[in-house]
Amino acid sequence: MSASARPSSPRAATHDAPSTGGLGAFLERRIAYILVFPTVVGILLVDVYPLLFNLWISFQERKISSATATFIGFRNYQRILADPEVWNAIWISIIFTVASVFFSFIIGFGLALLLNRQFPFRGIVRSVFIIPWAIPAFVAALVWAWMFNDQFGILAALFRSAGWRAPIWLGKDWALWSLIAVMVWKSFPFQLVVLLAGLQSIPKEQYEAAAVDGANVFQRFWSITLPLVKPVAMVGVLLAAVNAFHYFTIPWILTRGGPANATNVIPIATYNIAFIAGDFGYAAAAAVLMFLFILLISGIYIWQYIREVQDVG
Amino acid sequence: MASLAVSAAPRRPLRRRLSQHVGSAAAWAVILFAIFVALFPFFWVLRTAVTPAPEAFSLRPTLLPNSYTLDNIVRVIVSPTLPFGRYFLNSALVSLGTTVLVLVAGSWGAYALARLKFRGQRAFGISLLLIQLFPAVLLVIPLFVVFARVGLVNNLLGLVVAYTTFNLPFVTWLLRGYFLSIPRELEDAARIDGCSYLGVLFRVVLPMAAPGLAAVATLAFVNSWNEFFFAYVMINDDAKRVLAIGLSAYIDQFRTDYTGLFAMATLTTLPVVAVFVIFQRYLVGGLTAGAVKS
Repeated sequence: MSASARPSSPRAATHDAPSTGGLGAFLERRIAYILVFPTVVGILLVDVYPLLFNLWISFQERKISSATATFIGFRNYQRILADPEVWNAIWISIIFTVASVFFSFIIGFGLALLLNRQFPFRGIVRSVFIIPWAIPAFVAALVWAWMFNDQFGILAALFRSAGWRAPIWLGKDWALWSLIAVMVWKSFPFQLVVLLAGLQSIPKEQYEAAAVDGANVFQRFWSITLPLVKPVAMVGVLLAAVNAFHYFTIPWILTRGGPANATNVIPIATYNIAFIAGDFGYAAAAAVLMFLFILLISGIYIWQYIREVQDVG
Repeated sequence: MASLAVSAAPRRPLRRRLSQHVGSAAAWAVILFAIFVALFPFFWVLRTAVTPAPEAFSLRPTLLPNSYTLDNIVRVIVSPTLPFGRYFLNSALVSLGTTVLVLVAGSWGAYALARLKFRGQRAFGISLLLIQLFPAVLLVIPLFVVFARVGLVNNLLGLVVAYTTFNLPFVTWLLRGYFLSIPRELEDAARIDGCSYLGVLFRVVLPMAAPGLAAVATLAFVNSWNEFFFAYVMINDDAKRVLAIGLSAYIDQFRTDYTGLFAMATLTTLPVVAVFVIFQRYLVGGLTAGAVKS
């Protein structure tokens, strides 16, 4: 703020000069392009070019080990559409995404409603809930693997002390649900933060007016809280869904897609095709397919935001 | 609601006040239980890190260990086979490098996007959003092919480049939102007083956007520190490993040394958790202004 107090200092004055010509004026006229240049170059190099290159690779027969690549048209895509393992991976990814987003949203929303009230230690309590988000996913996955451990795990010990036999958490029947539980634990803070921000932006006067009109707690929730928090909630849910759909670390460290492909989500399947089987062309096609799914999930989000960009730009 | 509640409170019947107390007790119970669940795995990392190995493998673990030790942490730090200091330095270099790079480029681009007019502006804004949807596996194969050709595989600089893929678009987009939320009048006043656009950016906008910059810097740093997938694919050399890869190597090499593993996990996690918790105030504000702004 203090920097803005002296905008008419001599140095600033020499910078400006839209009408005097020379290098300064040239730079000033082109300033938007100059400022955008590094970002545009960066994004073209590390995002757009790889995307197009990936598309190109997906039409090739290309192995990790050899330098040669042959153009084979849509054959990778034909193969992938007929590959039961890929369909299995898509199906598992959908379950993983829908379940983890659903539960993390419910938990995040419930807690956001509680934390939105005035109470002592509110700041500290909020900081605490951000911790699962801050912990590196690979550390989270490692400690959950340790807690899930059949022998020395704390969960197994808990079951033993209650006289029950613990399920094999990362075994075939439970593995996917164990991963979902870890994902929910990891991602509910994001929902909490987003929804809390949404709740706090609702003007207090609306509730006061409704209370004066005799609306009870539930009526106020239905007719004020829900509609006003909806736009924020939608963005939060869609971002979380996209994130869960291409989440690699937690499933990889906990189960590597096993046992018997029970947790073989599509990022793991693609990784295996690319770097274990070494089939770059086929994996690139799988990645494109995955991206199409993400576009499908996030169609609404994109639409909403494109409209916003149009309003501004 | 607050003022109304305060003035009405003394006149409320006792039963209503009582039910309110029960209600807030229930709310506290739920919050405390949620805190327990949220924190327990983190606590269990720390607990395992300071427990002597025999006790860590107890079939009846207790919440707090019966004896504490710093041996695990010392062992990890001085380990000759897995040079923790090296990994830590690598992680710090990559994360700081990425953060500085995307912060400089991103804040310039965001300012142009928020305040200036240029051709292709809308296409640029929309592509920033679309790019955030790219899955990492979509970019990893082409990047791997290109990096292999130019010597960026097994190279920390390669990781900085790879981390720019997912940090630059969202940093630019969030800062755009943040800049838009800053009142325009101050900038206009500076312009009228003869300040150039660059002068406005550096003297007015960036200082006022400090909380937003802190928020995105925190996110970019933590994102890079916590990244696993690219590091896993791109780095093989022991000396080039970042913490994520060093830790996963720990499981492969010392399958049973869980106490060492979690000592290392503790040293990996504490710095980022500290950064995140310290900056969370800005984080929430910055995210709200940038991302969730309607």
